[in-house]
Amino acid sequence: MSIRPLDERGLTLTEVMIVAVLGLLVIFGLIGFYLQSQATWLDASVQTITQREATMMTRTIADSTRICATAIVTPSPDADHSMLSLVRKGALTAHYHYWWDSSDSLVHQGTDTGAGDRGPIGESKVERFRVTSVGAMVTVELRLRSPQGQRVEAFSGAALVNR
Amino acid sequence: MSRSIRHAKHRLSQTSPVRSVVTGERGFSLMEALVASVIAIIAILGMAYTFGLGRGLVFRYEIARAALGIVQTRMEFLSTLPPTSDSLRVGYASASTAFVYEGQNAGSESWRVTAHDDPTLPGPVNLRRVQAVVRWEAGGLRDSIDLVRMFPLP
Repeated sequence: MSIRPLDERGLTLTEVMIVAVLGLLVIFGLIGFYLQSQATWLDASVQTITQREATMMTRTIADSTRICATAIVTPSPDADHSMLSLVRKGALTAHYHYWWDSSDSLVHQGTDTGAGDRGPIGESKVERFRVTSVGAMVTVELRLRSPQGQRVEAFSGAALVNR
Repeated sequence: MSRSIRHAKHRLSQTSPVRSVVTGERGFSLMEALVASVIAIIAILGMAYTFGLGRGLVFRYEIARAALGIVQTRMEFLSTLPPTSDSLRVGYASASTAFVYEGQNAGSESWRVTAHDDPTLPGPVNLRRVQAVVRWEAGGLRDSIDLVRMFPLP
């Protein structure tokens, strides 16, 4: 039997190793939990922002529509994307347009598609910008893709009140 | 203490194979460590649950936003109808139509018209109360959103 003095202090190499391994396991677990939490938080935040942006876009278009008398809708450049041209009461030509720009996949607004382009009305990529006009009703169907890849759909309708 | 006794004690402490309990012992017992671990695990699981809950709420409000767009559009559509339209007759209840979200049938949409008595206006029935509602079910939870708007009598 080994003789150990009672006032011996400190840790053996085995004890240190066991503590180090356990400590590493705990640290890895905490890092994994932290990264997972951050990913979940980021995912939810980005989706919320995209949802708000979709609502803002549909409301902007609806507000512009309500003050107008006529809406001209043309597919541009395909059936999933439209160009909305709004004509004021008594006017012969459209004074404002909303269209999908294929160069940046964003919905732009302006007095015309060239020099009058006032830029995009959102920052999320738009996969679908479908507008329909039946009678006095103009409906807008949007599908946005967030930077994280989630898709958000929004639907809104507005009446041409100023006919 | 005499010198001989002290010498004997010192010799015993160096040679005795029996371990004595040190009165100034420090550290944690196994039970304490286990209890602390269980509390820490419960706290971490609670935090993880709140993240899941937050994600579920984001999804819930995503559908709610889409439903709000539907009822707003319905109200806009009803406001374009002539006042004498059957769809705005007092007592009218529309048939339920499908509320489609992301290509799937998420619920139903309908509206109904009831008589409304505004105490500030003359007569027993002076307005039409139109209520448009969208109902849906997601993740085992039933939800609904409704908009009410007053229309004048024809």
